[in-house]
Amino acid sequence: MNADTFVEECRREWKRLGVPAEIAGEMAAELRSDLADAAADHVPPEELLGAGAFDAPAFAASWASERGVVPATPPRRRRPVLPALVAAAIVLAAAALAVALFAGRSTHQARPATSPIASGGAIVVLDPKSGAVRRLVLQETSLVRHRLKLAHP
Amino acid sequence: MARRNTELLRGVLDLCLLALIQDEPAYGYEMTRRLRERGLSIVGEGSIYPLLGRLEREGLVETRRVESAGGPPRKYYSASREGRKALAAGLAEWQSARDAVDAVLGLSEQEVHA
Repeated sequence: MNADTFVEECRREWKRLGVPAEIAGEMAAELRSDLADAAADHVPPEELLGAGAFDAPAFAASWASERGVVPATPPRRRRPVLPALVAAAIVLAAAALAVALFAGRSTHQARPATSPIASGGAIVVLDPKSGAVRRLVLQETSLVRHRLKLAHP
Repeated sequence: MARRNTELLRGVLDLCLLALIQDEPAYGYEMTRRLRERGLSIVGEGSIYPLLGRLEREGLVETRRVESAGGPPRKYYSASREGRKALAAGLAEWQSARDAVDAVLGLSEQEVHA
């Protein structure tokens, strides 16, 4: 591990975290002088830095955090739960109402125009996109459940 | 064995640092050296710097910059009044815990030798 590189990595992390420049400079100077002393005594950096010697950003973040020099980020505002639940309930109710109305109208409109399915008749339905009434013509009695051809009225 | 030493040291490293600097200020590397001279290596434990940072934040240590010959100024740490109080309280806790553990381990040792 190169001491200068390690210190520079720490500085970058402190800058990223928003540690005030003066404090970051002080910590960097302390680290640099201690690493130089350790090197002069032939002491490996791990003796001074522990496992942090292999992960400069983690080491830097830990030090700054413990020292209390990382600016606090504003806590996330929690969204109120009750209004969200009420909104979800309203949406669900509206969807259920729409489905019920649609089903009722389809049934109502289909009934008069529909011949018995066994004879290969037709079903009149309301197109939900265009709002137009369409007629589904059943092609073959035996394939009534599988093959439907959409025919314009 | 090494892992147990690490775990044991982790719980009292702050007290050890305060004890090291209560009478004679020291800078970071010097503390590491003093620990090593007393048989306590922090390799694998992490680093003393985050711990020193916490002690500083809590006002348990005082710091001052001292010019060094031929190098950048060093940051010396010494135990503050609050730090000495914390050390005294922590020492009492440690002795109490150590006595309790000794009592249990002593009992276990008698059973092994019986």
